[in-house]
Amino acid sequence: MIKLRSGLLVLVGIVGLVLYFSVRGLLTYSKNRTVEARSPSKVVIQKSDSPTNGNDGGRQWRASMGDIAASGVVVNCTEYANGQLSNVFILSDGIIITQSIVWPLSPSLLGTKEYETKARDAFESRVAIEPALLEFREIISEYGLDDAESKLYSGIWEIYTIRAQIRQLKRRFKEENILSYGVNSARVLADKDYEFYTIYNKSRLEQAVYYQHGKTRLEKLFGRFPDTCFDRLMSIPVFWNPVVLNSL
Amino acid sequence: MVFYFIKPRMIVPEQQVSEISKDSGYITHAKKFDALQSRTGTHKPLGFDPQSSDSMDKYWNDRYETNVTTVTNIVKTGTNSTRVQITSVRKNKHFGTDDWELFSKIQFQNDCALEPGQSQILDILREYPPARDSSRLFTGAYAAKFVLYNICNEVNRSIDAEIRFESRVKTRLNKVNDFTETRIQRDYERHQEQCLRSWQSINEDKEQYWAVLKELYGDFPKDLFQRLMAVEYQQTF
Repeated sequence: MIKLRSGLLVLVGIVGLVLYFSVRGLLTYSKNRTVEARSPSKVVIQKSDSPTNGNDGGRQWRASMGDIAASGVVVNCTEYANGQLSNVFILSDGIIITQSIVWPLSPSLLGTKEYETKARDAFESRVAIEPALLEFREIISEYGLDDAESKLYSGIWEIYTIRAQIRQLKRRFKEENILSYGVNSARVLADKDYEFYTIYNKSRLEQAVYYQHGKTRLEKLFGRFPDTCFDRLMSIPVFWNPVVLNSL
Repeated sequence: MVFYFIKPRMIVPEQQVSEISKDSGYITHAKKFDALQSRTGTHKPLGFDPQSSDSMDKYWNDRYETNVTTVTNIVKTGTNSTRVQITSVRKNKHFGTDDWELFSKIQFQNDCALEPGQSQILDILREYPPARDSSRLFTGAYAAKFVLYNICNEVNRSIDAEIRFESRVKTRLNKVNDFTETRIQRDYERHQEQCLRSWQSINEDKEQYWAVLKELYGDFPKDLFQRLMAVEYQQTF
């Protein structure tokens, strides 16, 4: 009888254990699902520290939306040596977009004296209508980066280009021209035909591409570029597009 | 062993939260706050009922002082143009009170539950020890949302202006005559002025908020402030 009682007790214990974890698991799952559906927010860069080389020697990395990373919303970016960026966006509802864009500043000019001279001239002719450039200079100067003096204006122009790219992205967002940008079969992809979060997620991921690519260039230029410095620079809005220095 | 596993099932807060949240979003979050319990000393009644969204709405709507301060700004743009701007400022009479802190906390955490990206604001504020340890942490965090929203609006307005400017230039180029060049030049100058105004307006918003943070926490470092201004989430994209 005692054995039967203890056996029953163990059985009840096991059933209790199973029930507890199932109910708890279900609750947690349903909570996460709600958050996933409502809250696309931070963009998280993955594998950027250990980029792999693509088939054509391109540098590859991936960015995903932090809170909905598990749902597979992601961009795989390949940066080519000629400044071309190839982005494959995997969005919700099974939408896959392959986008090809060219970064406005040439990789070959980066870090050269010629670039610095051109950037300084461009800075001086633009600063009257674009006061953000002064703030860029002030922030970069604070950080005592390597060769900061000889590369200061190149750095400012790099930041200006990133901020202008973000402004253009926001403009496309307003003009409902997010999905089709840089896509060959543009007619197939009209923003208005898709859900808001699809458009928004794609915009944030594209923004992450600009941030990451721009930051990589800054790191090439200065050897290192602190995140805090980059974040501060990204708080400053610009109102014009930078002159494309390659064609000066 | 059985009691050990049964015990966690006796913890009810989660169940309470999910039940109550059917009635009001505020109650759910108000339950989580210890701020109400930690209000010691004065025993002054709260200016709003955290369990009633109507009461919180009323508290929000009644926030302005009746006295209106008029501010005159004289703005010089370019060499020949001067603009006089007269604005009225009404202060938030709740600002800086315990009630406002609790109100800000409830609202901020409600918003964060919907969009966790906003929690970056709090993360950055907490990097500054006086802000982290301050009893006005959420007052500062909640205020940041409005500044970021205003900046985003201003940027959007400038983008609209840019679109209008380009379309005007396109129209003028379609009807070329003797005045086309002059008119385009005038449009360009006007747009340029508008961009500078937007820049100025954004900077004014930032300066005001920075002053608020300094008032709340004694001081606030510029680098942290700039990082705070770089926070982006759906409402400010």
